[in-house]
Amino acid sequence: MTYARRTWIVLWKDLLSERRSKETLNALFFFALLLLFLFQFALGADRERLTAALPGLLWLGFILSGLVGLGRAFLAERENDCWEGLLLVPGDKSAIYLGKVAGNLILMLLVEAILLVLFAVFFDIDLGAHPIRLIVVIGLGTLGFAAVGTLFAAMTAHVRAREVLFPVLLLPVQVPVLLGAVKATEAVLLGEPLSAVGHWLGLLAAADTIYLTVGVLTFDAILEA
Amino acid sequence: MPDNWSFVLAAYGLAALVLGGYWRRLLRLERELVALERRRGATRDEPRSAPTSPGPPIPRR
Amino acid sequence: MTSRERALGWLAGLGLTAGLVMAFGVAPREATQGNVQRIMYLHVPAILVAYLAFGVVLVASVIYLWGRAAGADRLAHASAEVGVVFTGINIATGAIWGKPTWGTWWTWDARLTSVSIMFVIYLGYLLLRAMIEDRERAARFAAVLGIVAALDIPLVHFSVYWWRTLHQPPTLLRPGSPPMDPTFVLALMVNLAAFMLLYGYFTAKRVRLLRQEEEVFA
Repeated sequence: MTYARRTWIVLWKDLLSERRSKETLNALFFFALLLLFLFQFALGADRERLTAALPGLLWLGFILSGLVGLGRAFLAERENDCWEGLLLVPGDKSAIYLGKVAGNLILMLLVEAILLVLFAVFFDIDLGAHPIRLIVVIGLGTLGFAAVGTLFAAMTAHVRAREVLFPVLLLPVQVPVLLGAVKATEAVLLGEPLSAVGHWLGLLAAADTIYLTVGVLTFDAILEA
Repeated sequence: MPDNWSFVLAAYGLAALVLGGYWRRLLRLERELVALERRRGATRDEPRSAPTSPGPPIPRR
Repeated sequence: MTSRERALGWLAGLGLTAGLVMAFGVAPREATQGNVQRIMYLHVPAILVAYLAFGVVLVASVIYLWGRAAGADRLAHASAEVGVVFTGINIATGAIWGKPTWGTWWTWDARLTSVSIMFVIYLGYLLLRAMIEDRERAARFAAVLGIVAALDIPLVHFSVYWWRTLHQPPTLLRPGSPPMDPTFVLALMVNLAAFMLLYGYFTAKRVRLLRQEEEVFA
């Protein structure tokens, strides 16, 4: 079985079980909706303030829903005693990591799309002016988040206080991605070209590369036993 | 510009406190480990080696 | 206690004494800031040694994952702990230095922010270690986190730097700046050496204690 095929099988398994149960996606949808209320309560009806804070709020929403979603990334394996199943996969275990990252990426992007629509509708904000640029920025940011998040989720899956430990480990490490993504999103929403935030995109791409490489190289050590 | 000696004193005092505190933590850990080791040794194979230092007797279980 | 460790401890004590003499006796009063600038001899070496400590964590983590040598794991654990202590000293003395010179204990400037993020990351590292009971598993996970954390430091640094900056650029390593009074540099170097010795002493002692702990609880 080739490497790509093993990655695909892990991804397919996760997508299929999510499509059948819709456990995570439904919960995250409601969570996103609730976040919208929270933001509204926190900032009030002042549109100026809302627009100024929009990129930060948007990414806060992505990160919070991402934390909830990623925290469940290895739940099925742990609760159904399938961890040994993962261990028994022949060959390079990093294929599992890449499959999991891809699954989490897709899940997060779906939730983010929902959040974007909700923001556009409820806060009456035009997000569709430069869709390609927005997709590039959000994709780069989310990839970095999913790459580390998957690694740390596997790590904390066996720890007693994982609900606390997971965000405590993940959030500080994700500061560069968060800053870069917020700044780049801000520029895109202001209608600036991507070249204006080239250094931020470079940083995001570098972060994604580093995280994915470390994840691929070290996932073996995390999965053992 | 005023000298602000109190701030200098505070900074060095705080650093001394932190470093001293960490050092004392290590020393306490060391004492505990030595005591534990002796107790283990004592229970495992009776007098493995009599404590060379005439320190306070370690209570045996 | 090994004799080497004891010697290192005495050397560190001697170095710290020499550092204090240099900082307060030899180095002149700085012209613009006054004597409060003497905090620098504590503030700067602390962070440089912390970076060294986290670099050691990175190397030890890689070595551990490579060959699973328990010694490398103990070194990483000890070094991270000492590094966190030194980072804490850097942040605390920075706040105390900032109050009289900037008029505030804390500002969200680039270097303050990036150092405090680093502090939080390595606190998390120690937390992870403390929360996993199985020693071998804790070692593996901590090694992965140690690698991610160390590679994250430059990213944090750049991102926060671009995000906002007020701090004066590093006085020592700024190219083309007027050279500092050699006594300032000398005092800084003596203190740096003293802190490195202290780091070596603490780390060596902690590594040995970790080994004994494993033997006792084995």
